[in-house]
Parts: sequence; structure tokens; C-alpha cells
Amino acid sequence: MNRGVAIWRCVKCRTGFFPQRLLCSRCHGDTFEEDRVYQAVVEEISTIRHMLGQTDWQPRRIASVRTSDGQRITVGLTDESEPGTVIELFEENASPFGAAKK
Amino acid sequence: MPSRPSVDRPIGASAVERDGLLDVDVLACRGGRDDLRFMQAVRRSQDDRVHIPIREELLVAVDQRQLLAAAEVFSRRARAGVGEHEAQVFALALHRCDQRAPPASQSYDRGTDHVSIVRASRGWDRYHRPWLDRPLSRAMTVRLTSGPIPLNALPGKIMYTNAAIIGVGQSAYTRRPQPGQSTHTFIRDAVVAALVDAAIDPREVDGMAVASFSLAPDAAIDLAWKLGLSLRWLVQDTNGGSSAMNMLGHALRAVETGAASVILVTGGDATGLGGYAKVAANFNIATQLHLAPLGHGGPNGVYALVTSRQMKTYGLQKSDYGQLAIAQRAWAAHNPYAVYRAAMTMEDYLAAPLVADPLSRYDCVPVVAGAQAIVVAHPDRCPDGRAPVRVRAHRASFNYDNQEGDGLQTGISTFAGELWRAAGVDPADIDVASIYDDYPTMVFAQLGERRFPLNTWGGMLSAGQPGGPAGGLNGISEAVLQLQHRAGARQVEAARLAVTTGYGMTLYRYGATAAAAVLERLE
Ligand SMILES: [Zn+2]
Repeated sequence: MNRGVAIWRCVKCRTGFFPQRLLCSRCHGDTFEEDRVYQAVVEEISTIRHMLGQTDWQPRRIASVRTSDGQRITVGLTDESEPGTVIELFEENASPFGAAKK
Repeated sequence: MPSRPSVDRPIGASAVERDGLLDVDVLACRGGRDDLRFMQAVRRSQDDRVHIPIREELLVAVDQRQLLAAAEVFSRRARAGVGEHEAQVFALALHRCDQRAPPASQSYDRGTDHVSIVRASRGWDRYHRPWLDRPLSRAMTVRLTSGPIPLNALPGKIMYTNAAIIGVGQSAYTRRPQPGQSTHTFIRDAVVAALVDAAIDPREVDGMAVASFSLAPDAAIDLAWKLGLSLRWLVQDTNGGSSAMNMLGHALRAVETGAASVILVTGGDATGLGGYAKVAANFNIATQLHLAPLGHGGPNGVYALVTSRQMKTYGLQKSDYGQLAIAQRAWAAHNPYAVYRAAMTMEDYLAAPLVADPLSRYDCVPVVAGAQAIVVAHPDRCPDGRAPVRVRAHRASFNYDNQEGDGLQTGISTFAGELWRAAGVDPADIDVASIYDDYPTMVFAQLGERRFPLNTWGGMLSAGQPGGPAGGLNGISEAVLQLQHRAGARQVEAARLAVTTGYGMTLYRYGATAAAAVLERLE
């Protein structure tokens, strides 16, 4: 687990992206540097109660969140955070997760 | 043996316009060798009208001067042995001598013969430039008529006048494919049904477009081989839920320009539920890396979040989505191919188990195995007594907002006004609509506030989604059946105009491909 979530920032115009791009959609700059965002606000949530092809699926929560840097990303929620909650972001492998600030 | 046209008579000299109609009767050409070859391609009929075999590639010129210049160029090229289309280079069609009007809007649709006219080659462009004010840039087909035919009464330029949908077919749909059934066999069944419906012999098919999530490792060419189709035009499309619309556009353009004359457009999938889960988890790199490990539930999870956003933004209730699902289910009762045909009440809808909050069972498109096919060809190839369906306008959009919006609109919003203007009709003129419906929320996102008889085959929500590509073809096919007045108990009375859409390729937060077309019954 890593604190925060990696984003890719265009060196030319400083816009941050997640997931990674090849060219910046704003200025079409081709150089990015890795940065991290640590916080986000939950906007929408869902509980995935059923997974195709799986019989012993345990419900999981996901959320669309807005990071403190402005990206809208989809995260796994590891607690019962509701829309409006400020969460701390973390990564498992390349995947973003979040839970309410303690 | 046809009489020899006068070599002194300029090509197109006797094209006349009468009462707003174009009457074409004579072609001629110059030069000995050119003349001979031209006459092999063009033979004159008894009634002194020109018959040119289908598939001959010709150039159209918009006025007399262009015709003369083109004839001269082609004569020179033929003498010099230049030109990749040497056998066709001297054949020229006629056109109304109206510099202001684009030629396509002046072409017409009935007659006994037709001439395919293709975009000029690079070589031609280089040659013609010194002589002509404007390039012969419009790719089109004109038809030589045997009598005056009214130009279409509707205003607006018709995008494709010489390509139409002439037949449709589908395989059975099933929730669980049986041993021996595969994507390939479902596609075969749909292809056979479409060819029978269009009264087209497989040997006449010279083009095919296919889209599928489960054809791999085979590709379009494998399918051509396995179907025994020898083709001169082949496309594989990868745009998911808008593949069908996209392939339709490609096929119309191909027939219109003479790249092919009879095109099968097909799509199908038979992943089974486990296979579908694998497709959903590995849809693209972003999904593989950043969504599937969350347990996001595939598109259900993505569109659950979009639905929540839509409910919040527009103040919608769960029952608003229920209205759509219930209305489509009522249509499905009359569709023998639909996997869900039993009537559904609001109580049934609201009591269904949640799949991915707020989506419950009847909000999520049921995955089925199956395939669809349509046949695109010149409208004259349509079986007797049946109206061909042509496309007044077609537009597409890809990655319209880099996934930076809210997903409550689609790429359709980038071209909707243009589509209606190009079609020369208003939304109010539309009799029937096939709106891509993998989730009710996306129907609203594409449709806005409009009201049409909607998804009259039950939509994918009731009929089933045999993969996005075939699901989209199902909507087109239903529109065709409605416009041909062949929809049986589902028939919308006197349907004349339809709108169809496609939407697909959930890159990360919502879909990124969209397309729409206005279809018209050709009387
Ligand atoms: Zn930039």
C-alpha cells in the first residue's frame, strides 16, 4: 500500500491526469512528471453486489471522487464513506482506494 | 451491337433538366482505343439510354467544361498508358449543369441502371488541376433513369442517395450458448437470414464489415474465409456499442462510391457469462489496471455511478428509469427473439434485487449470445414490393471530451444539431427511434427530453445484448423493419423516418464513442 495516488502532470501546462496519457489533452505537451494526490471528496458511490461469473462475491463499495488536484477518478472505498466525505487516497498496486480521514 | 456515338459530340451534351428533373440519355467519348474500351464498359440500350454495368468506376463532372477537360485528360492518360484504373478512365457520367448545387443532392433513385462514380485518384487530381476550377471531389453515384423521377420532396441534402439498407437478419438469442454454438455460428445464422431477407445470393456479396468482442483470435478475414465470401471491401470495427452505426456509415460510403456493391454488416458475440466477465475486466488498459482490481463490476459499476450523478443532477427518481424499462418490456412482448417478454409492472421493477446501487436487475442489460446482420446495397437491389431504407444523415463522434466531463451527455451532443440540419428534418418528424440502451440512464443521456416510440423491439434491456456491436445492429434492424412496415404487432403506423444511435467503449468513467443516423423509408 502506498499513500496517495500517482497522477501524471504535464510539464508544460501543469495539468494533472489520471490515468496516464501520451499527450496532454490541453496543450498536447508530450512530457509528464509523476506527482501524487492524497485527498479527494466523494461525489457518487455504488455498492457492487453482484459480479458476473462469480458465485461467492462479497459486496464492495466504489466511488467517483474529485481529487484535491481536480481529477475525477474511480476508487475502491474501504469504509462506509458517503457522498461529501473527504477521503484519504492510497494505492494497492496501480489501483486507487480511499477511506475517510481519521 | 450498339450504335457508335458521334466522336464529335461532347460527353454529356444532351443532359437536360426538365421540370426540376434530370434526364440523362447519351454518353460519348473520344479516341480510338479509348472509344473501344469505353464501349466495352458502356453499351447503349434500345431506348437510346446508356447502360453501364454496376461496378464500373467513373468520374462525375459537374458541368460541361469539366466533362470536356476530363475527357481530354483521360484520353491523354490512356494514350500514355497512365492510370491505375485504365479500363475505366474514359467513362464519364453526366450531371446537371449547376455549379452551385453539390451534385449529390441532384441525384435520384429510381431507374434501371446505375453508374458508380468514384473519387478521383491522386493521379487524376494532379492531371486535372490545370484545367479545372474546382476539384472533382465529391464521391458519389448517379443513376441513369429511364423516366423522370421526382427529387425527394423533403428539404436538405441527402447524405447517401445510392446506398440503402435492403435486408436484415438475426440469429436466435440465448442466455447460455450450447456446445457447438459460438460467435462464429451465431454470425453465420444472422448472415444467412439477412441474405435470405435481402434476396441476395452470397456470391453477390463483395463487401463485409464485422464487429465482435469474441471473434478473436479470428479477424474479419477469417470470417470471410469461413463464410466463403470473396470480397473487395472488408472492415473490422472496434467501437463497441457504436460499431453498428459506424459500420453502417462505412458501408454506405463504400456503396455510394462504388468500392463495393453489396455489403454485409454483421456483429455478434457469444462470450457466455464467464467470458463476458473476462471481457469486462480486460476491456482496456485503464480498466485492467485501475478499475477491475477495485471490484468495479464492469460496466454495471461504471453506469451505477453515472446514474447516481444523473439522478442528482436532474432530480430523477428510480421510477423514472422504471418507466423506460417497463415501456420497452411491453414492446418486447411482440418480439419473438427477445429473451424477456413477460410484462413487467412498476412493482416488479422496484422489487428487483440491486446489482450495483442504484442499478437493479432490470436496469442492467442482460448479456446474451447472438448476432445480427444487415445488407447495404443500391436501393434498386431491394426485393420487390419492399421499400429500401436510406440514410438521410449520419454522424459519429469519438472521445469527445477526454473523459473529463460528467458522462451525462454523449458525443451525440457534439453533432445533434448538425445531424438534424443535414437530414433536413426535425426531431418532431421522427416516427420511431432506436436509442442504444445498455442502461436506461444512457438512453436519457442520448435522447434528452424527446418523445418517440422508443426501442420498439424491446431494446437490449428486454431483448438482450448480444455484445455491443450486435446490440447496435438490432436497433438499426428494428428501425428498418418499422420503416419497411414489416414490424408486425410492433408496427408504428405509417412510419417514415427513424433515428438510430450507438454508444459505447467505456474507457474509464463512461463511453467514448457515439453515432447517430436519420433513416428514411424510400417510397
Ligand atoms: Zn499540457
